[in-house]
Amino acid sequence: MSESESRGGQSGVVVAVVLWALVLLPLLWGIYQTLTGVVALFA
Amino acid sequence: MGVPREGAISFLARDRTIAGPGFNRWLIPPAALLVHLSIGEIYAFSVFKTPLVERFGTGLTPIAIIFSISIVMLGLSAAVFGTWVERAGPRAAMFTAALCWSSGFFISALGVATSQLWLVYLGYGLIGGIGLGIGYISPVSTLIKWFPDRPGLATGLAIMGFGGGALIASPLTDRLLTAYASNPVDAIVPSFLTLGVIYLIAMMIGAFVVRLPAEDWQPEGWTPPTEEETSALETTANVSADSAIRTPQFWLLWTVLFCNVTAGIGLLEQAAPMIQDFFAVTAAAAAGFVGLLSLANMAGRLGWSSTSDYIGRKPIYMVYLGVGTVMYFVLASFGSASLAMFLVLTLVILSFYGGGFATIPAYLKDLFGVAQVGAIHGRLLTAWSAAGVAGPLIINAIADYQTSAGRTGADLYTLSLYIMVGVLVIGFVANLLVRPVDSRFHMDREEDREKETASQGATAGSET
Repeated sequence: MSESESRGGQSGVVVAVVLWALVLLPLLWGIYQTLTGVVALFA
Repeated sequence: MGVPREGAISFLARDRTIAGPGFNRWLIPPAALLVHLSIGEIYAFSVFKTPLVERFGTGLTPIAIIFSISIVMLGLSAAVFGTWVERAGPRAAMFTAALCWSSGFFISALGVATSQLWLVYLGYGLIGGIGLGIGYISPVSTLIKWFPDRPGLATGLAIMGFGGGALIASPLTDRLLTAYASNPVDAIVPSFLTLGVIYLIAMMIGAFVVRLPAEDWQPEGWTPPTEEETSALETTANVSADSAIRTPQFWLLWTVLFCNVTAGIGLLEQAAPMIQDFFAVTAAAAAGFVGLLSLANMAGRLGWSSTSDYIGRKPIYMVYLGVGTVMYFVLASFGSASLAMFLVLTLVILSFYGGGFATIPAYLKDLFGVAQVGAIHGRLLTAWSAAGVAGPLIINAIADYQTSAGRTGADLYTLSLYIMVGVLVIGFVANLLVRPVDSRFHMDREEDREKETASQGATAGSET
């Protein structure tokens, strides 16, 4: 693998991580908020 | 001015979205999820209901119509624009969906600010609904093309986002309504504008990132299965969207989706009052129960759809509809006996509801091939629109009838639950009847026939 290909691959991984974080962080926040509401069901 | 506009249009063009060698396909699921998490806000619309009723000084029904228009437009626009989505490519489709969905919020804000309810119907309902339909099918068909080795996982990932969108939008809207003004009624306009901007940015990022695989691309280390290696229902050929709707398989799957969605809505519509009438829990606990159902719905979309990659599409629908029938029956007959049993039954039923939504594109891909799966999926979503209208109508009519007959508590729901058992049985039988699509509908065979007809015409023409 050439140096430029290796750099391209690494930046692709970084973009993938950033995109997944952009999706998963709000989703996990939403799940957390929902679960705090669920507590009332078993209180 | 002409050059930049052409540049912008060519950026959206299908051939500009073809990925180069070495493109990381794991960039596509988050791009798809950005779109589906945004349009999934529709399920959190109920948070706006009370402030909107107060703002327009009207009853619940005129406000509920906004949601109904959106869902009907979702199905209609997916059906009408499905072929365009396949032709124009995912970037143009996601870009259009982003514009429609966000401008729906902006127009609705104008409607609320000027006290014009029809503008909210036009914005959130009509234009936003078109954004929903285009935004729903485009990422799904793109993911199927990137994950031919795991189509169930791919469609589950995207459609999980649609279920998850409400989990974000519901608490977010709640906070916006309290943050912008002391009275939520005064906070509707800035909340609509904020949500419109957030969703525009999120969906545009998705549209920017999305790519289509090259014609000859396939995942590393994976070879397409031959006709002998595929399951009986899977095809290696392709069927066009126009031909697909002429096959019995399309209408059987339409029935399957209609029944699955109607039964799910039958539970979702009554979830909060049902648990209160069954077990006399508090309103806060009932809201927590609805939150749990949303989580089960979302988990089912990813979990069951991924499972279908291993056990097959037809068998998993046997589970959704067959086991679902038994569970609904137990719920109708003994649901009020134990809270724990009630919770297990309802959560599993809702996970089947989500699974049914998420697995259907992969089922379509198995039966009709990958070439026009987005357009075919779009046409099938009219079943969702029909169920979205029929389901609540049936449920509410039965609830009214039971109340007027003097029934109370768990007895209020018994009849509608038994009706849902019947609906699921119809879906089960429809799935049982699904057979492989006749090869005369395959695209290459149709093209051959057209060429044959054309050459016969030319020969006949030269002879005369």
